[in-house]
Amino acid sequence: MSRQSFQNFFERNISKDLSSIEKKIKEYKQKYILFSVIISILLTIPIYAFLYQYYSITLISLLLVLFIFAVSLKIAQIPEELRLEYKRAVIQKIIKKIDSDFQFNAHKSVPRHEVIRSKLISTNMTDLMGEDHISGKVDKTAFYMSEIKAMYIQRREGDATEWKETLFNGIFFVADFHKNFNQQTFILPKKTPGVFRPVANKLGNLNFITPPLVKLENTQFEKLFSVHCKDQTEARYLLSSAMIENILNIQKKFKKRISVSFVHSKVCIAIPLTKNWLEPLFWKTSANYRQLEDYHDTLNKIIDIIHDMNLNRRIWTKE
Amino acid sequence: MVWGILAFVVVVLLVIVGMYNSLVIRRNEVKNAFGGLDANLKKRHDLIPNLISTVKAYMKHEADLLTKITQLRSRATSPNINPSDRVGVENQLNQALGGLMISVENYPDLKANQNFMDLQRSMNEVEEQISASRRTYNSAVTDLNNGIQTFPSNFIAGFFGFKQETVLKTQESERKNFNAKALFDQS
Repeated sequence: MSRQSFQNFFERNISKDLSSIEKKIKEYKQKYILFSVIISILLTIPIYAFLYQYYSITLISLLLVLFIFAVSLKIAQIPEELRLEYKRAVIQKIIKKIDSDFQFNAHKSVPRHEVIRSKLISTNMTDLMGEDHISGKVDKTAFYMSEIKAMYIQRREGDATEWKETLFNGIFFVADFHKNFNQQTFILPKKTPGVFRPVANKLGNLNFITPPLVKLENTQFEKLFSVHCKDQTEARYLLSSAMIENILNIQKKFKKRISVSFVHSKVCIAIPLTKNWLEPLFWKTSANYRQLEDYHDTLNKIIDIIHDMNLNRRIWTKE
Repeated sequence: MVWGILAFVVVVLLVIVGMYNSLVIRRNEVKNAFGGLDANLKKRHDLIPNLISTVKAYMKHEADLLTKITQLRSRATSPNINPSDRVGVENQLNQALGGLMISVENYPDLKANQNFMDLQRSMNEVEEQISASRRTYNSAVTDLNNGIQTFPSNFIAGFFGFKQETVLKTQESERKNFNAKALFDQS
């Protein structure tokens, strides 16, 4: 869909609902700012009373401002019901516009076992959170995806403190692959954490820890990715010259360090993101249209992976 | 001093053993890769009789081509054929099969035949597996040849008689001929 046609679609189907949601967000924001100011003032009085004899008023005022600022940033979140309304009234419409048969569930995630099985996320993962599950079929190829956040959380018994590390934050995409295969093949971006990457980065190809490295002929591909599979021929069967070019094109499109794995008749792709996806904006509501356009572009790019990888080409024995 | 010389000799010996073993491993990988290629070529040979029996009922004007394919298959599977002849015969077989798939375009009933479509899918799969095996073989050969040509393992290779292998090249005609995918795309 071109920018112009998206704009037409937006004005016809989304604009009204989005304005209504933005209005509610604005009202909430005003209440929120007022609440923050009142809380800050209330908190400042005892702090001021305690500190005024030691420090200058300027310093206390500065601390107060910083405090308000920090609290505002920390608490600033759109209420759950507004988020869901946005997803139902806006995001769902965009998804249905791409294909009316696609299903969207704002609460659902790609199953944990699927993420683990892909081996694209470090084995240290203890917690997986996910939302915005989209599923459907493009011609013959079934797919599903969601935004996921894989974390390592260290909890101590009897201790409220936790140590958290985000292992992956982004989109996890799974589609049926059009060829039969038996082994697992992994395409990992060079110098990026993954199940095998920490060791593979430092020590190169260690057959007893990682599946063996498969050297492919495409030098550009070799610069960006390393391929691991126990069966050299099967890896090359999956990664034909055309498929290698397709993956390079996908990488170029997203401009991200994507990881790909071929496991259990499926292709899994992990696309990292730096921001929470498919969410309304809180501070800059006027930028929501631009953001929706961006979501729409990204969604199309992801769906296009099926075409980019030629997954609908069923000329092999797998139906 | 004596211990120093002894330590030096042991280190040199270990390096020689390491390089020799590395060359042996590479040579074995070449043999293994060739075995994989051979197995996939055999899969193609196994499909041919079925393919011929399916298409000959429809392809009345391609009798010569079908006979040629049968003969080439017999030569390729002959136990007496030497490796260099085998490569030539396999290439000819590939071209002939490519020609057959192009001729199929003239027989719409055959194209719609379920048995033929299944065979065509199997042939496509086997062709891709052959291509993958060839790439694996060429990668293994390149690894071996690098070991034989680079310093200092070239001395070990020369001393123990390691021989370079030849990579398999895809013929231009072969690239153009096997067009089953295109046939599917058109249908």
